Amino acid sequence: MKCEEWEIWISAYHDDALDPERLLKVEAHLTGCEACREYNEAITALEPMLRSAMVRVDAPETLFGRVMSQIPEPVGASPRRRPTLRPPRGWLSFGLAPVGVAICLLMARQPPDSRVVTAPTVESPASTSRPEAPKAGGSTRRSVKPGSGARPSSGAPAPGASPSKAAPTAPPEPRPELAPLRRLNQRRPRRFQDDLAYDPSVRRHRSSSRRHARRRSPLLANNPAPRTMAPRSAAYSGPSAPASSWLSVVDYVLPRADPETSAGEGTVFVLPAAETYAATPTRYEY
Amino acid sequence: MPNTDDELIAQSLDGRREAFGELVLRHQKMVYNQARAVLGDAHAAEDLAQEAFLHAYRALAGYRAEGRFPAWLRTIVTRLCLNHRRDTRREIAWADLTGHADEMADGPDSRVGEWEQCRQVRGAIAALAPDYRDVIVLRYLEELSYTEIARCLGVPVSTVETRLHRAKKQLRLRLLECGVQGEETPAGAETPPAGR
Repeated sequence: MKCEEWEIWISAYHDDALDPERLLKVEAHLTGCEACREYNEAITALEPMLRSAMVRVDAPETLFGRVMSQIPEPVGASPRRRPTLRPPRGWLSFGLAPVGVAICLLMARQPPDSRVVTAPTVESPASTSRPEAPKAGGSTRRSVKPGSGARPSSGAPAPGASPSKAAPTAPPEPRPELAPLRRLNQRRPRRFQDDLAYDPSVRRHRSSSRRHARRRSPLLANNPAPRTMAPRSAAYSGPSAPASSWLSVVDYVLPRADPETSAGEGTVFVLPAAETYAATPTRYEY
Repeated sequence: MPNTDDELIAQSLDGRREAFGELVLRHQKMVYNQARAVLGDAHAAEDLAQEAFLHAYRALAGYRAEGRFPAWLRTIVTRLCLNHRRDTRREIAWADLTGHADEMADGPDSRVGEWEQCRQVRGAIAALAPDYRDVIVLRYLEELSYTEIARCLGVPVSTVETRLHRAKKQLRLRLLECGVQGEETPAGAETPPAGR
């Protein structure tokens, strides 16, 4: 051990902070090391000066008054020990977890009251083969296929559908409300597979990568006959768009699929809730 | 029979202001001196002592260290001193700490010499790094053990040993530069036994 390490022990030796084993070692070392003995003597002379310099003085008289002036008077209830929210222990910790998860799922499945969806006014005839219950506030899938007369009609509500709640007659599809948003991030093949109007016989894009999808998009494609669409600034009416009629927003923002030019292309538009158009710019996923 | 600290704390939680006032009177000297030694400013020490007691009052409901209220309070003061030093980042003047010079001015010359030596020692302590100054104050002002200092600062005991050793070494060199020799051990005297 070096003298530097011995000096640390010697300093602790003066402060009575050594265990018996180290104490014996230090005393034995001091008998044989001149440098450490000198250091020991220096520390011995320093400590009284340090103690004398640390003079304790009385606290100012104003301190008590300043502290008590900040202590509020007890009003009614006493400041008892506040119940601390401790996590449940034992079997409770396992018992409450599934309850919390179930509550979260139920809240996620409940449709918000503010969202109003005009139900399947854009249901194409081909899509009626797979009925979908449009959910209030949720998104509705709209598939446009060539030759299917896919241009939606704006005045054909689904039978039994009401603008304020989901269609009771159609069998409820077990899809959570957030499912459409999730679909935006999914790859195209999966969307096609889950699409209600998916028809395997229809030719679709071979490449599912986003890079190829962007080439074919009307915005970035180099096709000789690009689709024209209204400028977003003009079409995107923003908050003034009637939230109850999401179809009008669709007509303005999204291009209408021309069956003649878009032969073989099945475009899936995944629409979030109407009011999110006002909040977020439109996203196109191909 | 005076109440213990824990009894006063329980009475304070029941809403009795005078119980907390009793706690303040008991420990204000300790809190003020510790803050004063660390910060080096009497006015800042008074402000920090007030803040420490208010922090302690708000945190009384969470007080768990039964029988160790002074140590708990000392930890609060240490944390507040660290925050104050970090926020202000200014040099310690130690000007107000020499206030008791008036008391010694009329005394014998030996007392004046002692006062001058104390002033130089305090100046040397003030020149230390904050970490080293903290351990010196807690050791020689509050007279805490290494374990208590480690608990108060939230560092291992070995760190406290190292910091104290380096602090003493720097103090010794600085005082030698100032010409303060201290008490010399008489020739032939035995090494003081391990202990205070």
